[in-house]
Amino acid sequence: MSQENIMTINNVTKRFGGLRALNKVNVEVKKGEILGLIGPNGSGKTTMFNVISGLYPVTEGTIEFKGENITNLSPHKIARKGIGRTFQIVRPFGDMTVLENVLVSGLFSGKMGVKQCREILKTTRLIEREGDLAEMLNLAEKRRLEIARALALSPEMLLLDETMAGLTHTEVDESLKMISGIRSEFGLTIILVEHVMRAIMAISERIVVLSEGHKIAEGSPKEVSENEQVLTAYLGRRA
Amino acid sequence: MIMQELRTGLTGINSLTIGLGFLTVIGILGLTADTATTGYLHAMVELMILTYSINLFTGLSGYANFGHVVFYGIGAYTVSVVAVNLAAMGFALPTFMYIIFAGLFAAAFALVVGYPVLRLRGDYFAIATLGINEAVRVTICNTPALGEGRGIYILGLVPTYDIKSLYLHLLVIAFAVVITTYIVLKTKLGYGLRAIKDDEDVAEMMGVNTARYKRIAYALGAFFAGLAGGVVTLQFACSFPEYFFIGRSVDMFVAMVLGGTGTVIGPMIGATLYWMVKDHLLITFPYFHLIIFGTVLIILVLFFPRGIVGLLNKILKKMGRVLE
Repeated sequence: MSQENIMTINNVTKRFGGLRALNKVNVEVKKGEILGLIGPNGSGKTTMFNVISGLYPVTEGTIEFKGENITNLSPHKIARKGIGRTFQIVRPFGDMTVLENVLVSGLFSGKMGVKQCREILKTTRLIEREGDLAEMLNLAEKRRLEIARALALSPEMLLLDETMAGLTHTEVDESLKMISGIRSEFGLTIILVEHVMRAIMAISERIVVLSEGHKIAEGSPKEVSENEQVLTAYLGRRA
Repeated sequence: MIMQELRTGLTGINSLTIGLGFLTVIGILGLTADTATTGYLHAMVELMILTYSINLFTGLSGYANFGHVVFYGIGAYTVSVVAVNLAAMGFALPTFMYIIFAGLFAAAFALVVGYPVLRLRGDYFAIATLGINEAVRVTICNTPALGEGRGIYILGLVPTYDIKSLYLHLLVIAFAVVITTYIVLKTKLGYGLRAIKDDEDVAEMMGVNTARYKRIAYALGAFFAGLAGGVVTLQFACSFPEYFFIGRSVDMFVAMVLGGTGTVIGPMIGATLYWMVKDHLLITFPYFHLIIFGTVLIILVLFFPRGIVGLLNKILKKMGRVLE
């Protein structure tokens, strides 16, 4: 793996009124890695994703992607530059078929037609359901559909927001296998927000820990799991 | 780029063919029948065009527009203003040119108002559209150059017409709007709008330039409503503030929901049924036709939220077919 940075998040602050959801956060994402993003509820993980994908404008700081400043670009431009994402609460286009869902991002990134979209559905094991309405899928399938839809942007970076929450043990294992699979197949860099610790410890090469909008730790899964500050953030101070 | 059919396992029934076929039938009927029948069908086709025009925007993007009639009114006034000014310079244009002016001006107006208004969502947008309609109407009612409350009369200023020739103009517009709807649904624009209807934020993050697509659809809908407005001015040789009547907005909205929002054939079925049933009830029960009509509509929307097309598709699906 090269050590080149694909994304640099520089001193990013996001304020909602008086609340600082992100406070001077610095993160460097290396090309090709799987970076885990963890933290207790309300620590700013999803806000981070929303800031990167342009849904929320940042209050301060800059975000660079492939050496280009993408701070406060509109979301569709950021998506077309190659950043795909999924959502914590699944949000497929329910009134469209599975194939049409994927086709939207394929068409609008201008990079894929029906044929390539079908290939993605094969990779994500949804091809049998391509003609069904997205709202008919079960949770695991909807989560895979979100990944498929993001892949149709033919992204270089994928932001996965709790793609394993609410899945069964077996489904988590399958999901892990699929994520490493698509990373090598599509040459992706992945940032992963996850509460399923087993999953994130197994798949991440590096982990960043957020707490109340601050970055409190960064390192390998082992380093992070032994970090005093991280334990405090999750479990509270030792009595 | 027009997409090929994506559904699998079902035989498609092309709704464009059905739609154009039906239009041809009522077209021939109206052109050969007596004047009363032509007048009846004329009003029906006008409602059909308006229903299609609101469907292009509201039906596809999900943005409830209760002030769509504003584009009809603006189209109507465009024709009389153009006619008066040209007549003052001593010449007149062929009839269809006035109508095209009406469409273009309505679309231009939509592009301009669309900038601020399309930033609003949901209820706020719906209220704003009512506001736009009222604002334009009140402005016209207070502008001497636009005839204030009296309207602008253009009798003798445009080429003479007969109801059949105007009906023919209306038919051409109807054909155009049906084909346009079909093309929009099969191309990028349609996919983008449907994505916006389902979840605008997600659509944006999947690469859809939502602001731009909403504006295009808004202007496209306005264009066709403007064309219909242009015809009505030529029909009555006058444009009145009455053309901005909110009831017409309701008519097209209800006809759209009745037929099936966001479909190729829905507005046609909806407008036809709406017009025939409403007219029939009015004649049979002059005093309480609206009560009966309202009840029927509530029942329909309660049991068939996807309109008649939704119901049809349910039945067809059991037979292994689907409306394309």
